[in-house]
Amino acid sequence: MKDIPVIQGAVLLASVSYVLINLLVDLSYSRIDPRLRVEG
Amino acid sequence: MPSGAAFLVRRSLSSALVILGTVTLVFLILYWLPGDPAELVAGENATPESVARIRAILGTDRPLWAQYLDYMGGLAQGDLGTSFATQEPVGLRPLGTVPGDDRADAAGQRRRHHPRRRPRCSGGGQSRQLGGSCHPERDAVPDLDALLLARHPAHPVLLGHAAMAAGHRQRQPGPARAAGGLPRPHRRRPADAHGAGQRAGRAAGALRHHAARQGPAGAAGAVPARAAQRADSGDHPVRHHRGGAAVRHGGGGNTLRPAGASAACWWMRWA
Repeated sequence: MKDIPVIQGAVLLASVSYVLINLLVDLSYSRIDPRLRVEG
Repeated sequence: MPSGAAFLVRRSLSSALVILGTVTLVFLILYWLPGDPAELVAGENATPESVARIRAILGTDRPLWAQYLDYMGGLAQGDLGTSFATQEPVGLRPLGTVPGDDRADAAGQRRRHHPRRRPRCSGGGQSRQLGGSCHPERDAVPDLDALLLARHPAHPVLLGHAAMAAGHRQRQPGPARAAGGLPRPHRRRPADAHGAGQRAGRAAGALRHHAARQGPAGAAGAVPARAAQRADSGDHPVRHHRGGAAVRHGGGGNTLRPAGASAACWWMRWA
């Protein structure tokens, strides 16, 4: 079935979770390793 | 900490950009993909008129920018669109979907792989679900007209079919209409501009409810369907792979193909 909205939903879900997980990983770097510092 | 907040803002903006780009890219890819979803929904023996009507219902007859703006506008309100196959709101359906799990998927397989072994309609053509009908080209038309009427009250395609749709709605007894009030998770559209879409969704809900309520007829049709599905479940991957290859190598441009031809691509079935 070429069910376009469902495919779009699946891709959107995958990309959102990809971005969110990457963001969480980047945020947790400074928590895990205190030597790291966020630079502007 | 101010630098952390700035980091978060920057990252959120770039993340939004990434998601926007992904959504746009996927939208364009799916738009330019060969194959007409209306033909797939309509079934193999659909008349050109009913295919055109389904195309209008799905909204795939509109220009690219209109579809894109509509999709993005819905997305901004948390509306991921409505499944072509089951007429349900998409929502988080991809998360919990097992291929071959839902009824519409099983019906689609039955249509594609067993055109000769199609089970007879025990209810005399009363199965009115979009994907589960034994004769989608005949049965689905009144339903689709009702949907179209709800979505575009003055659509040109609809002229001449409105009376049929109204008659169909009147034939539906009370509970089917009351099903419009069922709580549905994706009713977040405001009532002003998108009232028509909401009505369409409600009509789809009523229709699904109607199909589900037809216990005896639906059950009688479902048993041979499940048997057929079980019978050919062993060689599914091979079939779909072969079908996908055929679509890739054989299909050139945007030609209209018979419904079964492009429907066999494996990822299309997954979704």
